Parts: sequence; C-alpha cells; structure tokens
Amino acid sequence: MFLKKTLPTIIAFVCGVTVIIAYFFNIPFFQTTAQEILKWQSVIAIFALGLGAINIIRVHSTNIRRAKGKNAYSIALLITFIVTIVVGVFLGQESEAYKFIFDYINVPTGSAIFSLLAFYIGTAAYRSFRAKNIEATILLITGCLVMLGRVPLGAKILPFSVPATDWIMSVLNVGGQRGLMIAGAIGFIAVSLRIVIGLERTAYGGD
Amino acid sequence: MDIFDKLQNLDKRVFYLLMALAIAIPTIHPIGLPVEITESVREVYEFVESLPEGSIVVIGFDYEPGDEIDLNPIAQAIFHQLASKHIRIVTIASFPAGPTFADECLEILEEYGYEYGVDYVNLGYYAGGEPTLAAFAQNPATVFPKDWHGNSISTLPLMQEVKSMKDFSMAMTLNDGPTGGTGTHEWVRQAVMAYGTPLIMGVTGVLAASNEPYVQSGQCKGILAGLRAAAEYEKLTGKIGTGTVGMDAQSIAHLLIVGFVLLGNIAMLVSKIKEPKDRSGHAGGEPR
Repeated sequence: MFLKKTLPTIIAFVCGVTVIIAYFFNIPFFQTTAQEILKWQSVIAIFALGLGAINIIRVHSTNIRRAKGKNAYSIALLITFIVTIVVGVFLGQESEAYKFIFDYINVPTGSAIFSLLAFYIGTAAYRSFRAKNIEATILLITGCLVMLGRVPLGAKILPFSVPATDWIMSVLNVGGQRGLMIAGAIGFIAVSLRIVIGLERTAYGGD
Repeated sequence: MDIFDKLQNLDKRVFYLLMALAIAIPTIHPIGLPVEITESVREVYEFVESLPEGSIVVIGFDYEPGDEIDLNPIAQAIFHQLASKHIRIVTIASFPAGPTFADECLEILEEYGYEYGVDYVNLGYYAGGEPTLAAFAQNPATVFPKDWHGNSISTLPLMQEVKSMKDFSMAMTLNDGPTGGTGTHEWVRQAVMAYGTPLIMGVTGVLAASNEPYVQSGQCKGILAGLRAAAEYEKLTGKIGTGTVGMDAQSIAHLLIVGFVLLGNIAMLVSKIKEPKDRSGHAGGEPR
C-alpha cells in the first residue's frame, strides 16, 4: 500500500510543488532542485521508451505465436524493428545502411500514409458538404472559401477568397480556439492539482 | 437513376484517380503559378530580418516522417535567411527522426561557409517532451552532454555561449502537433513565458488554426503554415525550392475538391427541383 500509493503520491507532491515554485519564483534552492528533477524526468522518459520497445516485441511475438506464424504484419514489424535497432546501434545513425532505411523506407512510408488523407478528406468533403440545412450550408461555404483562399490558383479565380480566409482564420477561428484553449487549460490545471495532492489515483495505475 | 443522382454518388475510385492525376501532373510538369506574399508570412520574414547579425537561434525539429513534405521546405527557406545574416543555429528534436531531418536541412549552410560547432550545432533527440524542454531551457548541457554526432558539447565553441534559453535571440519550432513530441503550446510555455525568448512557429497547414490565438496575444511572433508559407518564404528569400513546386499540385488538388463539392451540390439541388411535389404541395422530399 505504502509503496504502491503513498510513496508515489509523496514523490508527485514534492516534485510538482518544487517545479511550480521554480517556474514562478527565482529562489536558488528551488531552481537547483527543479533542474535535478527535470533531469531525472528525462532519464525516466528514456526508460519509458525502452519499456515501450520491449512491450512492442512482447505483443507482436504473442500475435505471431497465436497465429502460428501466419501473422504477416507482426512478422514484418518485428523484422524491421530489430533490423533498424541493430543498424542504428552497431553501425551508427550516420551509416549508409541507417540512411538507406530512413530515406527509402521510413520517410516514404510515412509520407504515403499521410498523403492518403488527401484522398479520404477529398471524398469525405464531396459526400458530406451538402447544403441540406443552414448549418451545413455555412460549413460548405466556409470550407470552400478557405480551400480556395489558401492556394494561388484559388486566389486568382476568386480574389475575394483571400481576405475572406484571413477574416475567418483571425476572427471566427481565433474566437473559438481561444475558448477551447482557456477551457482546456483550466481542466489541465485542475487535473494537475489533483495528481499533485494525490486525489487522482488513475495516474498511479489505480481505479 | 438519372445523371444528377449519379453525380451525387460518384464512385470514389473516380475521385481517387483524378486526385492522383491532379497531384502527379503538376509535380512532374510544374505550371509555375505565381505565389502572392501574405501578411502573416511577411511579418515572420521581417521579424527574422530584425534579429542582430551573429546572434544565436534554437530550432526544434518536432515532427515525424510524413510531415517533412510540409516542414522541411519551411526549415530550408528560413535557414537561407538566417545564413544570409550569419545568424548561428542550434537544432534540437523531440522526435527520433528529427535530428536526421535537421542534418539534411543544415547541409544548405555549407554554401554560406558555415562551420560545424562554430556556426551551427545539431544537438539531436531528447525524450520526455515538455519537462525535458524545460530542463534544456534552464541549462542545455544537462540534457545534451553530447551532440548528435557524439561530440562533447564542451568542445563546441558555439555551445560555450549558450547557458540558457535566454541566450537565444529567437526560438522556432517546426511542429506537426501533439503526437508524442513537444507541441507548440509547450514551446510557448517554456521559451516565451519562462524566458521571454521570441518564438516563431513552422507548422503543418492544419495546425495554423489552433495556434493563431498565440499570434494575436503576442506570445508568438508569427506562424508559417504548410507548403504555402514555404513557397512564399522561398519567394522572399529568392531561393526557390520544393515549396514553390508543391504549390502547383496543391492548387489543382484544392480546386478539384471544391469542384467536386460544387458538382455534388448542384446535382442535389437539380434532383430536388425535378422531384414531384408531395401531397402537402411542397417541392422535394426529405434531404438525402
């Protein structure tokens, strides 16, 4: 009980309060202690990355075992995962082999997945931007104006779209975004305080 | 089913084919559409121009493969401007791929006679997001005892001048959002609010909307959003690159989407008008 709940709460309280004080007040003791805490945090984050890597291997090894070797995606993931680690660790991240993996596998696959958005968003816009009611019509007009106002050809075809886009982005958009940001920040402060004073048990793996 | 019904429910494979052609043809044969400079991009350019020659800036490569198509051109365009003023550059990254992207973009500094360790440094990747950025801001040496290439930072002359975030005349994050790395909000908190270091953002097109409040509040000096901003910046620096080439494809793709949306709506309206009046005498039935 003490190791599982009380000790993590004490650590969270001490670290949280120290870092908050160091952020707002220039007191040498708190500055130095906060710096140490932040340094420890980055070390812990590295361990978390290692744990993540072990977890990926564990999950996909189980998948392969259950599927009796027929799970091609898990096999491909594990092979590329291990090859990349071996190349990165033993040959170095400036080696030709690592650059080959990065330039010809990692970047193109990432770009390919990201580029699919153009196709999906395009068809989604075509199917859903229908002027069925007043709200949908406003969304349709706004979407089309911003799409045109953001590209040179659109600005040539409909010059009005450029100032209209600027107005939509800097007035309508900012009003909404500001409300979201303030509400989000208040929620963030509330949750942080609950964690620091030990009321938020889920952060420690509790219910 | 008449032609108007068909136009409302076109096979998505037709759209996919047209979209692929709309992107591929202008990329292979650029049209060279003129790019007009917008006020937001000009503000960023003028702010960078106002930085003192020889000062030091920090640039965060906070994006993954997939977003480099938007963000590498922004990085390269701004590096040309920084180098023309002989501003020295320190790069960090909150994604493992970031340092490699930084290395690729930093290569262009060689044409300006930049020397590694003296004029620019690639510190590499840090894990942990905002808390680690906070530690870096307080004392970079605690997070990066070595740079990306394995050199001790005590041996790099440039890093001798950097003791905290205050020593940077500008911070910039090239950011693809809060997807595991350090987001734009974290940069505002740790660079601007804690140390008063001016911040500019280079973000993917979709992130422009959510970061615009920071520009109006003065917490961010300006945003370069997506390929369009890269193309405009290339025009301002006079160094034409992939941003300008990509704008042709993006223009045609946007136009295609707007065209399809209009087509669908026209077909829907015509179908409604053509439908027989119902018993109550109103034209059209329930919306589709």
